[in-house]
Amino acid sequence: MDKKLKIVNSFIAGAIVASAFIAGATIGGELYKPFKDWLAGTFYHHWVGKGVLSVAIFLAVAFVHGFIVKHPTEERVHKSLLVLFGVLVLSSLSILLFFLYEFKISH
Amino acid sequence: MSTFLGYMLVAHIILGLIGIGAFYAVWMGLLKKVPKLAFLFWASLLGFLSFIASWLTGGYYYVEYYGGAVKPIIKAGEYPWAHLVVMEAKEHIFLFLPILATLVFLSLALLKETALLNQGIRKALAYVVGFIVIAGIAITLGGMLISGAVR
Repeated sequence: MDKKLKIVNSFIAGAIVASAFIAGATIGGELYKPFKDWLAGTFYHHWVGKGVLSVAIFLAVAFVHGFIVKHPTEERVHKSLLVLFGVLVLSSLSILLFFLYEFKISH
Repeated sequence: MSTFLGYMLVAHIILGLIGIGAFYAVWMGLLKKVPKLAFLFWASLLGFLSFIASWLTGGYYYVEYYGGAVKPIIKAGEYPWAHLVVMEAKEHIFLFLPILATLVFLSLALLKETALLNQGIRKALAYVVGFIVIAGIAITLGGMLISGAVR
């Protein structure tokens, strides 16, 4: 079970970083156009770029995390899931409020 | 719009709804006094596969058609916010779902009874699944609103 806890905890870490990346890349791409253009030029479309990179980050962070944290407890997995939930709520609200704000100042 | 793109759009909607329904079942299952692991496993697998397929079909429609043919109509119409706020938020918040669906499925597949017997893990997992369902419903409603804004 220790090994399975470790794998799950690593994927939770990957999901936390990937979620934060999606929010950061979305808002960052709107504020810094060269980044959005780079995503579009490299991955055919900026949205495809964000999707591909978020999956790559999810997997890469999970892989690296597995080497760093050796023996996670059930309590650690519980807390990691709560952190993920918090990051998801904050990231979603950030994206929504950012586009609302952009619309408000441009209209 | 070509027939193929029409099929892609319909598939995206149906698969997305199946995914939301499957994760709603997982959510309710996790909140039960005595959850059934086998049911949660298969429902999360169905939800995971549905979201991945919905992502691919919707993504194809969005990248190949929406930006060039639909977006300009909405932006020039009476409800530009349908694209500038709703679609922008919807398309990016959607990106969370395939990753979360993978995580929930892996958690149930690997942790098995531990995910259900440990009250802390079970409750926190229910929060994450609840987020999937609520975000999925919001995205669906956003899609309906965007469709209305084109007409």
